[in-house]
Amino acid sequence: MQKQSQPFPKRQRGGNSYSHSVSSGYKGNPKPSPIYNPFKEKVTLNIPEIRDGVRIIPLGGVEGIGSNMTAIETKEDIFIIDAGFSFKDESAPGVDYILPNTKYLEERKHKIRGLLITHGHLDHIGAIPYIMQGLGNPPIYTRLFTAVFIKKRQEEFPQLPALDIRVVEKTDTITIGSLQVSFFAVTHTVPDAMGIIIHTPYGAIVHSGDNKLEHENGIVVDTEKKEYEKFKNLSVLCLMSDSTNTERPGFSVPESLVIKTITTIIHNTRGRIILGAFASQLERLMTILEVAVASGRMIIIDGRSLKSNFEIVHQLGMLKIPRESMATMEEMHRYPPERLLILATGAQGDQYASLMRAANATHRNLKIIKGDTVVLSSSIIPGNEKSVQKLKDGLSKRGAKIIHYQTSDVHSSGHANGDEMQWIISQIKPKFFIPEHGYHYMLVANGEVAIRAGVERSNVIIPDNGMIIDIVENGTKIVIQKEKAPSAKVMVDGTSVSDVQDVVIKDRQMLAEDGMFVIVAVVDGATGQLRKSPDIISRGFVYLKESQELLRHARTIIKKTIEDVTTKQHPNGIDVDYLKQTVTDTVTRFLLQKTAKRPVVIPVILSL
Amino acid sequence: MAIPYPKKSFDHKREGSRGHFGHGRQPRPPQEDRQSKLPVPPALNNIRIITLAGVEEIGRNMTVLEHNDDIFVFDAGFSSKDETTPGVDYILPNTKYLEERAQNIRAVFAMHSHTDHIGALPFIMPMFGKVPVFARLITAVLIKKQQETFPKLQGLDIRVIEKNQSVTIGSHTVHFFAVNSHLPDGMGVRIETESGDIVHTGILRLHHENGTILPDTEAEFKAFENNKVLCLLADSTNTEKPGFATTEKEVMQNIDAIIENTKGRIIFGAFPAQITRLLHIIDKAVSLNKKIVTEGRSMKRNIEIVEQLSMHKHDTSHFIRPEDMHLYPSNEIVILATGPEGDEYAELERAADGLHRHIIIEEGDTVVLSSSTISGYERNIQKLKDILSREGARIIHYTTSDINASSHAHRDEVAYMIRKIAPQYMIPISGCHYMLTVLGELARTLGISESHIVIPQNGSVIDMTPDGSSIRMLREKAPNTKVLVDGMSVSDVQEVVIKDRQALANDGMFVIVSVLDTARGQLRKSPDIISRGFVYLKESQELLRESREIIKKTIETHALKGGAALDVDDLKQEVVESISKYLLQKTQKRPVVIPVILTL
Repeated sequence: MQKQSQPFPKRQRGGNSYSHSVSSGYKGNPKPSPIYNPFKEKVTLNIPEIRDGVRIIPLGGVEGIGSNMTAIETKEDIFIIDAGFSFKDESAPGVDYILPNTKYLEERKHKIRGLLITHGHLDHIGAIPYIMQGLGNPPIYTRLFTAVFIKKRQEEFPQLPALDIRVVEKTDTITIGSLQVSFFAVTHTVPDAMGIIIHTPYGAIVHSGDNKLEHENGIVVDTEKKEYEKFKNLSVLCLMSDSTNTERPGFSVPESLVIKTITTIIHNTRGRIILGAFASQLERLMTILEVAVASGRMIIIDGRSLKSNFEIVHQLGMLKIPRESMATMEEMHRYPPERLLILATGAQGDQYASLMRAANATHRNLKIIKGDTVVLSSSIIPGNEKSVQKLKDGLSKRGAKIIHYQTSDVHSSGHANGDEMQWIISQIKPKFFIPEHGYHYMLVANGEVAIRAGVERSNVIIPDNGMIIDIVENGTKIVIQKEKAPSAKVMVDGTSVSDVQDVVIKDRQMLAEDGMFVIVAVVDGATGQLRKSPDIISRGFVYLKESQELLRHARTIIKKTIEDVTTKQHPNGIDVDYLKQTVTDTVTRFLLQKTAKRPVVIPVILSL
Repeated sequence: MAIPYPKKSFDHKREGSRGHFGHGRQPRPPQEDRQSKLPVPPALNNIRIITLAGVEEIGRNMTVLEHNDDIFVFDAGFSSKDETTPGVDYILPNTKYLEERAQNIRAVFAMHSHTDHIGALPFIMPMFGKVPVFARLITAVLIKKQQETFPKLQGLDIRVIEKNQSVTIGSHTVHFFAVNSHLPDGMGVRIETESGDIVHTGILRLHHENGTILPDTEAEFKAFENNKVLCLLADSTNTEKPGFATTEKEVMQNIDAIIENTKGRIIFGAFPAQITRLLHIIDKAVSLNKKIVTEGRSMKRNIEIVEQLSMHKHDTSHFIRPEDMHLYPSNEIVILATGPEGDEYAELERAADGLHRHIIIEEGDTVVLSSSTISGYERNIQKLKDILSREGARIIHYTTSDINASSHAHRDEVAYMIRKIAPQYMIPISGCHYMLTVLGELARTLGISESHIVIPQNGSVIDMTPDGSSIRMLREKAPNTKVLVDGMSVSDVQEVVIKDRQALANDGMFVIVSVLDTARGQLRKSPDIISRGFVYLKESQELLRESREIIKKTIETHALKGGAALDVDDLKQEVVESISKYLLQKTQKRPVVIPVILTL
């Protein structure tokens, strides 16, 4: 029963509800409407406004990796740089994504002039579908590839209004609100990555996005030098830059070396090559495909995100390989192994990605056989070590030879090491410096880099999420306001998007550790006696089949506890809250003693 | 009161609440290997190796040699819980095979003193009866200390042996050797059989300088020159890493430089079991006239042990109590805190939180994290570094400076060992499957034929014929399900409990309590809903209201149809299905739905 006969009215809450579908990463499921009510209370309007000067608020991405968002505010305008999300970690079980807290912005949305996106990775664009309506759907400024990418992603949310995306180029200077904004190209791992320059009367505010340098043995190549010449005659008031890898000494492995290594592997491998990669390393993958095709291999792409990314670059004419060199999984058997290169998602050990299914032998078309070479061309994101280990175990169990970044130069990060960043900062020559993108200790390391590059120690601010940093007195002084912009994590949890989930998350953590123990007891209202032995429902606590004695004992204790209270209180009516509390305390203590576990005990007492 | 419904409420049947809606979150259950369920045939005269655990993971090492009615057990380690086993304390090897043959167990060899080699002893030794444990002195003392934390257990029969010693156990001659340059507690074991020796290296590290093996290590391997080694069991952990591991000497030099050059307090976080390194730090600090503070139970314990054994003498006047720290200038203080692995070795983390009574991290402190990160603890370390840097500490970590030497041999060291030992057969152990295959591949390039290399799994039974002419892995496996220590329960039947915990962790629970008047086919009142960890209930009143309606309608429709022959199990099933579907549609979450239907 209970088909679609019952109309379930759409949930409406105080006008800020809107409808779109949430992608949980699966295809083809009916998408329900999200329940959007992100913020607990209104508090931000008591924060003193910026009068003259520039306010910078890192709203996300400075106490961890992901959820990048920075607001730049002047008296008239607000500019937002990036809108990313981060994936859940073990401290937030069950949560899908974590968004930056945009409450400060929502309450000043009349001042928002634009969202500027540095590049098309999810930690920079992921939050767009969730937050744009709350911000009044301001125009988005970004370069072509990123624009296509954002649009493509937005298609997964058909109920949302169209985005107003304005494509800019790296040489452009445009006016947004009352200020001029220009851009510069940076090297990262996707096409069209850029940095942003906002020209204020006090000097330029620069955000370098995610970047590294193309170099040869630590000598920066000319194209990079030329791009950074833009800063030669520019007075930069403040720079925000990427801290992810600045703890690491020297220069990163140059991308050219990675390409060279993989090219050698392609040339010297006799069997199939399966390249596990991130969809986000598009630039490298494009080059590798060109190399593979040149050496006579057919290309098969497996995995939704990879396919859609390559569809985009193909359409934009960025990928220079003929369509005939691409085959599908089903056509694989037509080609000898030494003529195949398969590009597969899942180098992080993601449960449902192509490579993991191949490793588990659950992939319909991709069967790993002896003679296969798997190249894992990505580093391991902290937290994924065990899944990547499982991936390698599964692949090697089925006979694949594995080449990965810890033993061979098949990967280079898209983020600058310490000395690279020092070079970048010394080109930009900012007066003030705010490290972003990373855990606190990474920001501290980047701060040290800036000091080495000539920024005064007192001009380096290590921010927290929501920190309000004002540059005042004609750009001469930097102050941190004692108030903070709201920075509680906003979580996407199924269809719910909100920052009130802490209590839910805490319950989940407790349930995960010790399980639950529900007691159902029916009290005879007339006598105060239990109508029958109490029922116990327990999950995730102990193995019940082998704990009959424990349950029997628990029932006796519950019965006695309840009846002790009810018979005493009886004719005057039963205080159910008190009764429940007593039962909870007694049972919790008993179970702890017997099992050394502390399940969530919930008594249900019905009086009939 | 009417028919009480059958006691099903604690049944573990999943009540069909899962897997009905296409994209299950749960991974498909692994395909059971049918062969592994068959009983293992007796060893007869064969020389049998069983890799009970520790060959599909790092941790819980346990390998068995069975020959002519003698069983020898190498190691009894545990692993700590990981994200796939929420709430569990430790994971132990499955010892069912051994328990069934307990009368033949002659000895347990504790190859060294880390918990992945000795941690399971208190849990499993009682099941073996009175079996002696052989270990080197430091390991022996640490095992005793570990045993003391379980006062109810009987003492163990621990036999202290040293390298180059030989003993007869059962009908076998057993030789002990040391091939580890920086663990004074580590040992290898060589057991003679008529067809050649069985060698287990334990944790291997060679003494070298810039890749040249030093004479003391050369001498140790001399013993193998005149012996035929039938089978070598060797540690795979770091075989993938190229060259030779950083030597302890280089590490010490770097640590010396840090102690000499740092202004302000220095706090060392290291594995408590890295005894040699600790002693070195103490020596260095004493020579520079610094004051030493020890924090953390296991750190104190280890230093005590070393004192007890008088292997090392230090002037006690250099040790000060944490509460006296303020009496000395900060650049005279060296603090030894237990390891930075976040979870188990909590001292440094506590200090980092600023909660500790005595060590409050101050601006100007230097924290040295002198141990590598255990796989799976990377996030904890990241958080730890975050908190420390927030408190103003400078952090020196092995990723940015050579201040840690791995306890496990790198590729070229392992290659040297294989050449020296020149075994007929090779079984890589201790590591994830992938690491094992890398060691197998290395052995192959060194001339051991592929058919002589066996890559085992947990529970694999490997028989060599009595004359040593062939080796094969049986299709049958020894029982190898994980044994979980969970509160007071130690068992391998927890899988369903763990699955429930995972489901609860992701989507929470949703319990429905309703009282059905069977005579009238109606609910006595609106159903009660108890939910935790699912959605924020205060803001979900509408969802709850609709849920109640669906529940009421489902139950009453069903009751009407069923009449007197009402099947409560069917009814519950239907409630679970309709409500799960509704909640999934509305919230994209799949809580564990549990209906309680009381009939009156």
